[in-house]
Amino acid sequence: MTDPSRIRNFSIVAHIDHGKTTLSDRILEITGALTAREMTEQVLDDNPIEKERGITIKARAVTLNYKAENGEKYVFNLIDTPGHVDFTYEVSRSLAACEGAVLVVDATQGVEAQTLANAYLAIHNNLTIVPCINKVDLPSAVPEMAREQIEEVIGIPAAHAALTSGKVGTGVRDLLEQIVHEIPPPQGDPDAPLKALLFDSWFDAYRGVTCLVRVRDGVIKKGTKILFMGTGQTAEVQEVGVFNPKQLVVPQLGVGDVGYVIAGIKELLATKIGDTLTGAERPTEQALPGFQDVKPMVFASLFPTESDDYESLRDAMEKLKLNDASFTFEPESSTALGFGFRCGYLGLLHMEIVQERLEREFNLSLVTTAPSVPYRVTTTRGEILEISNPVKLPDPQYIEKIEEPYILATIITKDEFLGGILALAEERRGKQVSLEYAGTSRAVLKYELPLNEVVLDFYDKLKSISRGYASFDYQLLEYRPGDLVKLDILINGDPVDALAFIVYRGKSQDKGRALVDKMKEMIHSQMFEVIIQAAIGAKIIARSTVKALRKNVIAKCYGGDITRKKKLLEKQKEGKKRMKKVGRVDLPQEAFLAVLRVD
Amino acid sequence: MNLPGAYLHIPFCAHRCTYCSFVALTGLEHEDRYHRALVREIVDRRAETDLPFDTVYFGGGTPSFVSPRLLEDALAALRGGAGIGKDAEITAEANPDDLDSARVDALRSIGVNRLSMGVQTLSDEELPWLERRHDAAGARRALAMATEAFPRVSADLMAGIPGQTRGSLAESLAGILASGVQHLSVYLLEIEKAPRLVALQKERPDLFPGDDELASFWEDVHRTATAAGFVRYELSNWALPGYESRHNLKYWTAQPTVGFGVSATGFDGRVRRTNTGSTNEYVKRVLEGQSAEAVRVELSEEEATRESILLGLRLHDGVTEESFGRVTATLSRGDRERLEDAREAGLLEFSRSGRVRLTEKGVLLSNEVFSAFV
Ligand SMILES: Nc1nc2c(ncn2[C@@H]2O[C@H](COP(=O)(O)OP(=O)(O)OP(=O)(O)O)[C@@H](O)[C@H]2O)c(=O)[nH]1
Ligand SMILES: C[S@@+](CC[C@H](N)C(=O)[O-])C[C@H]1O[C@@H](n2cnc3c(N)ncnc32)[C@H](O)[C@@H]1O
Ligand code: SF4
Ligand SMILES: [Mg+2]
Repeated sequence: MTDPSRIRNFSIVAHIDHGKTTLSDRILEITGALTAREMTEQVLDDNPIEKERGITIKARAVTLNYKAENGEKYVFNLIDTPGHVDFTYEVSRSLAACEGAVLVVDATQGVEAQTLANAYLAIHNNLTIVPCINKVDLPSAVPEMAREQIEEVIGIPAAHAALTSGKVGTGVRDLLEQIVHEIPPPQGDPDAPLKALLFDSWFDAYRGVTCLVRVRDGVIKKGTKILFMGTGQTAEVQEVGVFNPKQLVVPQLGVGDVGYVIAGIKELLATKIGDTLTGAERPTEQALPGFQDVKPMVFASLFPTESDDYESLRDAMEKLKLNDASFTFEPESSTALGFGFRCGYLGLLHMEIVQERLEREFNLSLVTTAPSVPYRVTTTRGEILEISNPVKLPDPQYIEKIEEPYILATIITKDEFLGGILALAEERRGKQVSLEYAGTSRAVLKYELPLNEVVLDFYDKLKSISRGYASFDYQLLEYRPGDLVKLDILINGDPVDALAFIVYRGKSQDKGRALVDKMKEMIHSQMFEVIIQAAIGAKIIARSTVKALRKNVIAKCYGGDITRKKKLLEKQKEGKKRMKKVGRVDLPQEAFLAVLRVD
Repeated sequence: MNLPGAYLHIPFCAHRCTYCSFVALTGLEHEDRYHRALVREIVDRRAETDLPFDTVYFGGGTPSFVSPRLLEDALAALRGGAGIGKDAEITAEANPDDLDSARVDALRSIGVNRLSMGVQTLSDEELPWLERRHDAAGARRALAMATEAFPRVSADLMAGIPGQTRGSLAESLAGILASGVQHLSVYLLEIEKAPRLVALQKERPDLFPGDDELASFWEDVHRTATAAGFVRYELSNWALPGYESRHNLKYWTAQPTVGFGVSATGFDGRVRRTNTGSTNEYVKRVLEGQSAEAVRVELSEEEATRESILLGLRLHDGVTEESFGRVTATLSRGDRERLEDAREAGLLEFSRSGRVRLTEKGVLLSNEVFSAFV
């Protein structure tokens, strides 16, 4: 067990792509956690989806040994966090296990929206912030600009901020020294009853649930009988350890330590991220505050393409939920698509990642329906309904009013793109709150916007308008009345519940038209003609037709060809399996998300 | 009795056509070694069946390009053991540019009694895309010579060639029918394994007939051939009654066949065996006394019956309702639903005589039906 005064617990936070994971690589290297041979780029992004997309989606905690310039040895618990706004929840969980945060700012980009948001998160958690200015190896780096913006936009001193390059290693030792000297050591009572925060977990078929914890008071070791205060679950610890980054069994975890606990728990609902672990025999009196339940703001349904996979999907979701507490799901049944789940996400990227993880990690084939934000409906009878699924929207004659969520968006950009961005925000029914400048050409723009106008493609539009030089963050404000209608999509005359969505009346006509045209491109010709219609109430506002397929034939087939042709048929069939059958029509995944592809 | 058929692959061509991915070498450099290896393989394996072959098929590559001695010696080797039946159908594929009277005489004298002519098209605008070595006039001459000399002649016609139209296809077909052939095979141009055509399609998509057009081509061919007295006895094959390809029928009815030569495949009802696709390796292995077999797939009972339905549906007469029902009962729910949809869409027809067959529309959409059986 390490003397807590020699422990430093910190998260690395930043805007997306500012180099957190690369900087972590260098820290792992300097502290000797990995040999040069074991080192790869962005070692901690070890999920294949992270590697492919080049972004971090899960926070990763590692325990490292650092010998400081004063000759003393320290233990660092470093948590590398994701930068994308959809994964902010990962950042807040990580911060709760730390005393400090390293705030990385890309010297070529300066302070961006998530730099600001994550810095505020750290400040709210009373953490010590150690700023560092990164990517100084790049010719376009302007460390002075970054320093000025940290001070002006965020409002923390940055005169001594380390100038680092995660790529080539410059300045990283300076940063480590600052971590030792500026971040306070953890405080806690080793003799008090065990009190540890459960801040991440995952499921393994052999060992059950692995819990990642941060110990506040007491100790935990093999044989400790533990109690999860929130769920009431008890268990006996089988193993404790740390990740360095390889899994390493240790005798015990004490005050200030960050490590894992395995207690042979196989029930998926027995543990909950944010819960407090304590001793079953001598429990602590007061549980830790835990985490506020995150409120998903984007909802979409997931259906297995093969209806037989419904139970496997439920099981997979429960397991994934252990590792990602920020998504929610509840059973749903659709007339068109059968049994599935209505899921809540923190954003579109989150939605994509969850689907991809379910498909890859649990070997499922799924379709996702069009995303929607939650609406608040007051009925003529005075009931207030929370509608996160357009299917559930009452008929217009029973609706008194519909309210939609508004956000306060912060957009940070270069002066020169302001015009285009303002036009976009106005087109999206936005209302400007403020426009300020930081430094010479940095504009900080605040807008109130209906979330409905933002979730689908606002961010992509923003990026293209600003050629990547605008960043975006948002907070929820409140619900406000909106003139909204439900747009139904009919396939061969039957409304497909899973394709319905809610839209601003003024845009419904154009949306409907664009959507049926887009869907026509996405639905391939099949045995029957496919008629796609958009309707508001009983009124059809747009229609397009996918002509019936006329030819799908393999001519001539002899001898050895049979094997080859069967392979071709199998390939065709595989393709169909990834589609969802609605009536007689095969709908590909894209068709359900066509609404994301129209302007 | 189900007498076996023999397939012999002749992997040599004078020139590689743009679209083709059959195993073949350009030129005759390796002909002698291949000649020896092929004869040796036949001698070594003739005893695999103790029945006489009642069909022999020289496919390619280009059987008409190599020395007729090669084919002659191969036939002699096949005549060992249980031999070749007295009335056996002996087919050779032939390219129009190879046929002169000497070649025709030679082929006939060694016992070939059926020619399959690779015409592809009779349009001089289309032929250059294919890089064939004959022009339309040459192909017409060769067809005339073939029908003059052989009792049975088939022609390969290709649909989907860049620049092809309903009109040009009708002209090609008319020329072929006028030559007096009794059999017609129609191929849809496949370009996946032809990089130059893939590139062309990217650059000039307008040149390539679309699916709708191809469907019309198919219907046109069927109408014209039918009017000329031909029967579509298989999905892409038309013949005057009595002139069906007995050899190819063996494939579609799961009769036994033995494959000799590089890349050749044989089937005994359950096991499908294919020789190596490398000519060099084939020759080496055979001359060293080793087997040239590279792939061996044993079909399970279920796979074999599914395949028999898939192939049987390609035939004009289809399959019995009884066997169709028996096999579909073993399919997944999704596949059975698809077959139901196909029936409703008018792709499948259940006749009063208790047979299931593809309809006119079903022929064009046959993959929608077949994919249920893989
Ligand atoms: N030149 C240079 N490039 C860097 C440096 N640090 C990171 N990069 C590059 O910047 C990109 C993003 O790096 P990451 O380390 O994945 O960034 P991140 O902050 O972890 O990204 P997220 O976790 O997705 O928010 C990669 O292409 C890196 O190679 C640096 O110091 N110098
Ligand atoms: C195996 S080839 C050999 C016949 C002979 N060498 C010839 O070219 O006529 C038999 C037939 O296959 C067809 N064929 C070859 N490659 C093809 C392709 N890529 N697409 C469609 N048909 C093809 C041609 O019609 C050809 O006549
Ligand atoms: S089509 Fe015939 S001639 Fe042309 S390359 Fe293929 S086998 Fe040889
Ligand atoms: Mg990262």
